[in-house]
Amino acid sequence: MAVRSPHFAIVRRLLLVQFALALFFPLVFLPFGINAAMSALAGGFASFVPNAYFAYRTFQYSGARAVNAIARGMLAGEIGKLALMALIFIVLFKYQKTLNHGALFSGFIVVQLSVWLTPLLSNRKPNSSF
Amino acid sequence: METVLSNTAISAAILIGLAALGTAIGFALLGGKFLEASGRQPELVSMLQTKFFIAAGLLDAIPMIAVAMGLYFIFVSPFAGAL
Repeated sequence: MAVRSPHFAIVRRLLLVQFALALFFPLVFLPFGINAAMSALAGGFASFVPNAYFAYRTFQYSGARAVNAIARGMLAGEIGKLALMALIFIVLFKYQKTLNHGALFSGFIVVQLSVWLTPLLSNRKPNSSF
Repeated sequence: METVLSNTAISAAILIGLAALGTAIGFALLGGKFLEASGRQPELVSMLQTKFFIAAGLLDAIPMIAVAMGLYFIFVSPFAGAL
């Protein structure tokens, strides 16, 4: 595996925010019972785990000489991300009969939409890139 | 009952299909632009890689929610359960 991209810091920050949201957002559902909180936790990790896999595959290679490997990694990462998410949801719906669906989708959507916070995580300097 | 089940299956298929179509078009444009830009300015590849990742996250946030909702309709069938 080649050296990570020097611009990887913003991605690491974003993944940390997603992990923290997946871990702590279920606390909102604790008053509704432990089942609701566990469902929200499952929903959060159903979003975080595929996204972390996509980040791993996208940043597996870096540098101008590895453009083809990077493009292949991005494609494989996206396919893996969708497949992993579908697999997690199928397993949850098929084998977890006591799921609180509202809490599950709340956790999933909150972690999923946290990507929209990226401009807040980047450097504030007007000329700085991501 | 059969009508509800068949309509649910059709709606889930439309939901997942449109989400896949949107993601496919978006990724084709994004990947093409990435390769184009990295060919033009190879020294910017690492920055473009990060921007690609963030744009991909923005691009497939909503389609992924649509796919999850489609799977929910297929495996839980909430409308059939409400009858």
